[in-house]
Amino acid sequence: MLIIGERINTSRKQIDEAVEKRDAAFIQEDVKAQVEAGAQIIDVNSGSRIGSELEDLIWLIDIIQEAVPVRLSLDSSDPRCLLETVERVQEIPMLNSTTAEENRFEQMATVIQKRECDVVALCIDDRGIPKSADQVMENAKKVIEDLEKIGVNRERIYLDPLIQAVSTDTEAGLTALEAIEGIKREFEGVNTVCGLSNISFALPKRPVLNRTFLTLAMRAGLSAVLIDPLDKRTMGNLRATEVLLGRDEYCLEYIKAFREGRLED
Amino acid sequence: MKEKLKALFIGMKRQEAIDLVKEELESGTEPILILEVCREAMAEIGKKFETGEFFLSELIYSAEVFKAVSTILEPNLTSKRSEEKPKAIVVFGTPKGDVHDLGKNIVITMMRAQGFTVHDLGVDVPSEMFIDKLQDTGSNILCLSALITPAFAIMKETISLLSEKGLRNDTFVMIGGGVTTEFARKEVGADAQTLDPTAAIRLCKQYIQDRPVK
Repeated sequence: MLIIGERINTSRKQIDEAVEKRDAAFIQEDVKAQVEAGAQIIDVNSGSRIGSELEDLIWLIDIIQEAVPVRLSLDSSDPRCLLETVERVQEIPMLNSTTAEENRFEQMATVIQKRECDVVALCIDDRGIPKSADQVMENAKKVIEDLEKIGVNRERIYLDPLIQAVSTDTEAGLTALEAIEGIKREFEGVNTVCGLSNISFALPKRPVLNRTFLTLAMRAGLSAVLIDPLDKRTMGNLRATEVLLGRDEYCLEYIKAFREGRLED
Repeated sequence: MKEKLKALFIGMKRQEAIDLVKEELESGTEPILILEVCREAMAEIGKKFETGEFFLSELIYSAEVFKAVSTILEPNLTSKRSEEKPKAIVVFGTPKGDVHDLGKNIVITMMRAQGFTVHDLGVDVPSEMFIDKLQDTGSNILCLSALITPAFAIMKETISLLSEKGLRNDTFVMIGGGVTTEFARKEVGADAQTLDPTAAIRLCKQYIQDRPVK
C-alpha cells in the first residue's frame, strides 16, 4: 500500500497560517512526522490560496526538500502551476492530477513529458462526473491510452475513480469499489489511488465511514491512498487491513506500529 | 392537516406524506394551501440543516418528497398559478471549469420550494451565458456555485462582464459552494457568499425587500 501524506494542504488552517507567515520549521516538522508515520510520498497543495498558489507551491517544495528527503506529489488543478514546478522536485515527482478532459489533458501532456513522473489521472472526461462504474472504466481506458501514447509507463499511472459522497448517492460506495476492482481486473499494471474523505461528505462521524471505506477499498485492490498518516485510528485500520489481507508477514509492520504508539483502538 | 403533513415531511415519511396530500386533494382542500404547508415544512427542514441538526441526505430526501408532492399538486394549481407572482427570479449555475452540481441542485430545489423562479443553467457555464440569461429573463439575482478554485476566474469574468454591460448595479450576485469564502467573494467582486441554502434564500429575500423586483 503506497501511503501519500495529505497534510500539506493550505485548506487546513494551520498549514495555511504557516504558509502565510512563511514558517518553514512548522511545515518541515509536519512533513517529518508524516514520513516517520509511514508516508512514502508527501502531497503538496496550495490551491486554496488564490492568487499566490504558484509562489506558495514553489516555497513549499523548496523548504520541504532542504529538510526532508522524500518524494513529493504536486497537487494542483492548474497545469501552469505544475509546469512551473515539475522540474524543481529532486526525486521523481507524482503529478496530481490530469483528467481525460480534452483541454486539461492537452495542457498536462506538456508537463508530463518534461521528465519521468508518476501521474495521477482522474477518471472524468468532458461528459462530466461519471454516473456509474462502467463510465469510470470507459474514462480509465481512455486516459490510460492517452498517457501511454505520450510515453508514460503503466506502472506510473495512478487512476482515481472519483469517489462520490454516499449521502447524496446511496450507491456511491459500491460504485467506487466496483471501479477499483474493475481497474485492477482489466488494466494490468495500472495503479489506483483515492482520498478517503469524499465518501463521507455531509454525514456525521465521518472518520468512521472513511476508515471503513479504506478497508473495503484495500480489499477491492486499491494501490495507493491519500491519507493523514498522523491519524492513528485510520492508520490503525490500514495496518490491520494489511495484516488481514496477508500482506504483513509475521505481522511485523503492525507490531512495529504498535511499539511506536501509532495504534489506537 | 397542517401539523400532520409537516410532521410527515420532517419525519422523512415519504409515502405517508404523498398519501396524505392525495387524501386532502380528494377531500377538496385547496391545492395552494397544501403547497404552502409543504413549503413551510421545507423551510423548517432548511433551518434544521442550517443548525446542523439535519444532514444533507435528509435535505435531499425531503426535496425529493417535495418534488413528488409538487407533481401531484401541479395540475390542480395551474389556474391559480398565473396569479401567483414569483417571489424572486434567479439565474443559477456552476461556472465553466467546474462540473459539480450537487449543492447547486439542493439550493435550487429549496428556492423553488419557497416560490422562487430559478433558471438553472447547469454546469460548466461560460460567462456570456449567464449574462444572456439574466437579460432574457429580466432577473436581478445571479447565483454562482463552485467546488473547485478554477471557477473563480470565470466568476470574476462574469462579474466584469456584468459591469461592462451596465448590469452590475441592478444585479445581486451571490457565490456559494465548498470552495468559496469571504476572501473569494471580495476577490471576484460578488455581493454575498454563503455555504448554506437557507442563508442563500434569506439573502435573496433581503435583497428583494431592500430593492423590489422590477
